[in-house]
This record gives sequence, structure tokens and C-alpha cells, in this order.
Amino acid sequence: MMARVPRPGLPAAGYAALVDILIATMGIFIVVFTQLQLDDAPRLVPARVDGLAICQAENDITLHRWQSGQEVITTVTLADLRSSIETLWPSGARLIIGMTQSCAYSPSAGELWELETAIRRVTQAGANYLADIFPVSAESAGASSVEELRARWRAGMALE
Amino acid sequence: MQSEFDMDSGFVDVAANALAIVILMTMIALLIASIPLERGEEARNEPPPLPFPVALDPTVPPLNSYWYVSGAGLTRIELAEAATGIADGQRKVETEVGAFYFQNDRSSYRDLDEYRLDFLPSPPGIAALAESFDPDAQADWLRKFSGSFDATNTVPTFFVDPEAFQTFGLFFQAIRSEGIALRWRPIEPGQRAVFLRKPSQFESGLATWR
Repeated sequence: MMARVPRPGLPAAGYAALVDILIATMGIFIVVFTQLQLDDAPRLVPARVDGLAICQAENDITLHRWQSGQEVITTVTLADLRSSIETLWPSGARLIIGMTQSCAYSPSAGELWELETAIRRVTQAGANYLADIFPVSAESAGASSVEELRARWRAGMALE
Repeated sequence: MQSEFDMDSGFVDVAANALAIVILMTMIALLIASIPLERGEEARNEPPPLPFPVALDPTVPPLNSYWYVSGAGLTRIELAEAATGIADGQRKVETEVGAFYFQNDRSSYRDLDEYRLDFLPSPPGIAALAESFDPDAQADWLRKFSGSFDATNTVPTFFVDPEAFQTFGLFFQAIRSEGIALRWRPIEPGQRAVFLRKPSQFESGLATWR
């Protein structure tokens, strides 16, 4: 039998140990691979609205939030609307701002529109706010009324 | 024993390649299995009664069509005519629906030209060209808006007159329930609608369409 002649630059030992390690690693991956399961991906639907801000007239804004199964209404002014939102929903929220006619054409309506853009930035605490402005009518009934908006929001919150 | 040595290194080669394939397959399976959740959407079975409208992807901003909502109906504000006049060097372009005033700002050296285009609606022209959007005509409008979004990625922007605010509220609900993205702003009679282009719109003040 010829003596084993190692090639220059390569270790003299056989590759058996290395092959063993490689096959063991493959084994781990095969186990992981067989244990994977495809979950049924649920349908993606638009998210719930966490709260409402209803602007009935200039500086007459109510914030509606849901707390332990009940609607809690807070009255705020335009100046402290943003800080109130950040206090009431510290971890971020999706809000709908309902704007009635007398609010939409008041001199300070522009500030609400600016708030929609400004609030979108993630705060230092990592909270994420999104707002959307809906035109609503101040009447008590009808598809676009404030009461209808509140009723739909309450129905969504009561599902949980 | 040259042949034994070759056989060993051949094993290593095959094993390493097989391992690479197994890792790759595992990674692909993990990627497929992970459910991407987009911002503003949740994984549920049923949509809530009052859903929060999902914003369009801001990386591909849509094109816009502008509409003046008056008591008479919807009037299209065509910017093309104004743009042609401005390209010819006019500062003021009179069209049937109103007058456009153009102001260019080249005071700062940037890649982006800043400008401001003021639109002053003319009520008689607006009323003459208005098309009704009462509940009977709503279905046609919804088909038109969803068709223009599908075909040309165009979403409507509405300037709402106080006269039309109540009816627009219903129209808005109909558009939202169809899932068509839109933007709207209240506008008072005699007030100018301002079209702006400035760098902040591409930075912090990025517009959303939802």
C-alpha cells in the first residue's frame, strides 16, 4: 500500500470529520424545514378607527375614545388638540376627524388640515398617529351625519 | 492513495452544495410563510363597520384630477390649458372655469423649480360646465373615478363650496365605501385654490391619498 501523500497546503487529516459536521448541519435544516407550516394568511382588511375627533364649530372639538367598553368624550380646544391626542392615545392611534360645515369654513379650519400632516410623524416615544378628515353634517340623522359616524365607530369598537 | 483523497474531497463538495441548497430552500419557505402586514391594515376576517381608509403607496404618487364642487355639481378644473399658457410665458391664464396666476420662484438654486399657481374660480363658468352628482348620477361618477384610477392611476381632488357641503358629505361616503382614494378641501366663494410645488412636499409634508 502506498503511503498517503498530502497535497501541499492542505491538512493531512481526512475530511471525514468535516463531512460529518456538514451532514449534521443539513440534518438540522431538514428538521427545521419539515417543521415549517404555512399558516392560512387571513385577509387584510382596513384597520379599525381608534377614536373620533368631531369639530362642530370653531374651537368646539370633542374627542371620542373607547375605554373599558364605554365611550368617553373629552372636550378640547384646537390649541391643545394635538397634546390631548398624544395624552389620550399614548401608543398611537388612527383617528377620524369629522368636520361639519360650520367648522370647515371657520378661519381656523386650516390648522386642522395642517394637523393631519403634522400628526403623521412618529413621535419620540415611537407612537404612530394617522388621521383622516371626513365631511359630516351636523344633522342628527342621515348617512353623512355625525351621529351615523359615531354609531358606526361604536359598533366597530364593541366587536372586541 | 490519491484516489481515496479525491473521494474525500468529493464528499465535502457534494455535502457543502447540498447544505447550501437546503439553507436556500429553508429561507425561501420562511419568506413565503411570513405574512406581510401593511401599515394601516390588519389581518382579520371581516372589515370593521367604520374602517380607517388605507393610504395609497406614497412611493408611486398618483396623478390628480381636480374638481370644483358647487351647488350645480362637479366641474373639472383642467390644468393643461393653464400649463400651455404658462409655457408660452404668460403670468395669468384665463380659462372658462376661472383664472390662473402663476408665480415662479427661482430665488434659490435647486434641482427643483418651486412655483405657486393660484386658481381663482369664476362662478358663472363653473356653474355652466357643472355636471350633477345627485344620488341618481352617483353610480356613473363612481364608475368613472374607479375607471380612471385603474387605467391611468388618477385620483380626484375636490374643492368643496359651502353650497355643496351637505350633498358632498353623502358623495364622500359613497366614494369611500367603493374604496376609491380621494382628497378634498373646503373652499369659500372668492377664495383662491393654491397649487404649490416646493421641496418640503417631498420631505416632511408629503401628501397622502386615501
